[in-house]
Amino acid sequence: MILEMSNIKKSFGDNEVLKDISMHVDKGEVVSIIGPSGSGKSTLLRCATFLETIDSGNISYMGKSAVTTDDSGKAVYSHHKDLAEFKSYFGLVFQQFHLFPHFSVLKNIMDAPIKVQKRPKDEVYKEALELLDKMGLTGRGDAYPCQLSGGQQQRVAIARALALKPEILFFDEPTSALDPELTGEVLKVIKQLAEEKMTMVVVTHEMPFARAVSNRVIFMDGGVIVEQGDPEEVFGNPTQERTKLFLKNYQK
Amino acid sequence: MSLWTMIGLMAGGFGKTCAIFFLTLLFSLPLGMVVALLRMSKVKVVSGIVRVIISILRGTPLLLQILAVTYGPHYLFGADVSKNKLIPVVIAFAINYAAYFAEIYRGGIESMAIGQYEAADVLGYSKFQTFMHIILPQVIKRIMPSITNEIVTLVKDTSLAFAVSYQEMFTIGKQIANSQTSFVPFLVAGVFYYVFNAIVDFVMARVEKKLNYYN
Ligand SMILES: Nc1ncnc2c1ncn2[C@@H]1O[C@H](COP(=O)(O)OP(=O)(O)O)[C@@H](O)[C@H]1O
Ligand SMILES: [Mg+2]
Repeated sequence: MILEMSNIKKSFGDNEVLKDISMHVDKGEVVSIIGPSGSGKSTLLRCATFLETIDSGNISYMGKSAVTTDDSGKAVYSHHKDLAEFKSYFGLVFQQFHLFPHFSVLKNIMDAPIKVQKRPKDEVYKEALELLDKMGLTGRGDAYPCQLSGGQQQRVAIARALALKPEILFFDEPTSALDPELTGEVLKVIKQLAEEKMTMVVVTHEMPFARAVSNRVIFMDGGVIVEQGDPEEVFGNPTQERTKLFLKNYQK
Repeated sequence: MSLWTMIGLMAGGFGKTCAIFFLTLLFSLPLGMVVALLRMSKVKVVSGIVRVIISILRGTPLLLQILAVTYGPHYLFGADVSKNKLIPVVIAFAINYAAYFAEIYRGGIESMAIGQYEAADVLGYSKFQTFMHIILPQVIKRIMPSITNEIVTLVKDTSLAFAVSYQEMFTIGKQIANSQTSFVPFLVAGVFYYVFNAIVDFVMARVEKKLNYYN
């Protein structure tokens, strides 16, 4: 098991955003998370990637505990050094890309492997070129993010995350900031990664895409997992009223 | 006294004008960053104290601060006012300009989107690496126009050293003006500063252009 989250609780002030959520992701699995806006999907990813701290619950990567809960029910995070190791297990692709605008495309991809993982530059360079090819960005290495379309920028962001060779890659609505005609090229890349058995968790509103690529679909609403399972089951034959309603509204 | 004699005498003080200018930049630019970071400290006492110090430095005339640093030690401890006035003058300038630069740095740093920090965090950069490699280069580009403004002001402010009779160009010009009862030295000084700032503008435009390799 790559990721296991259990009994995750997270509030912002009085607003309980994650209400006792448990989920796990196996190696090679592609999990889609769908649900209405405000249901806590981003918060769940941000908790998994340590951008938010959970109030209570457990998080482990590769069978190793990163966050545990003490007797008083409060979340306890691993030490700084260990968290750095846990961070090397995952990558995150943001809705707004968040590329580094002052770095060229190549430097965006190569900088973290060199500076964070201390890997040799020529090896990283070779891999970066391969990643560019894979993302359909051959020859764009010297461009700056501002010179690229949104779809190209998002593919650079995916390459940047992949360059660190994560065990699992999280996507938070990777195509929501894109013009409709550019979503296809990004979804294609994610689909290709799925075929290569990259372990991924994708928060998305692209229902046909979720149905096609995922091994499992999670429907979240109001900070809880309402329903999850095989995509054909969840999309074709949902058991919960809330799921039915959500999917029906989406078809319009 | 001929015009050329005046210009010659005043040019003799230009080296000292340049000394104030370059030494002030040398010390205040990095000091400003330290002050900015302290100003943004999460420790309320630290940020509070620094905030008050900055507001005093910006809210009182630089002229007074130069007088205070130069003659303060004499009034407080009976210390001899040092013959070399460059040191107190540069200290006063550097501290005063550090306060202004600190506020510019802080504005630049606070204008950075949180997403840059979050992306760097997930990629595993340390806090120090994030600041030095990701945040600071972008901040420098953003604040360059404000920095240029301050540098242009500094060129003109060097003339305030006349208050402690430090023999820089303007002080010499003022002395000539008094002894010759002539307004000409002031005109000469005006031209000096104007040309100096034309050079500053030229250099800074080049720097800004260099930083324009991305948007
Ligand atoms: N940093 C934050 N501070 C306060 N409230 C937040 C914060 N982030 C998210 N929320 C709240 O948490 C809830 C879930 O948000 P989010 O996880 O972004 O939902 P989703 O991604 O499913 O649209 C929303 O009510 C939102 O307003
Ligand atoms: Mg969201």
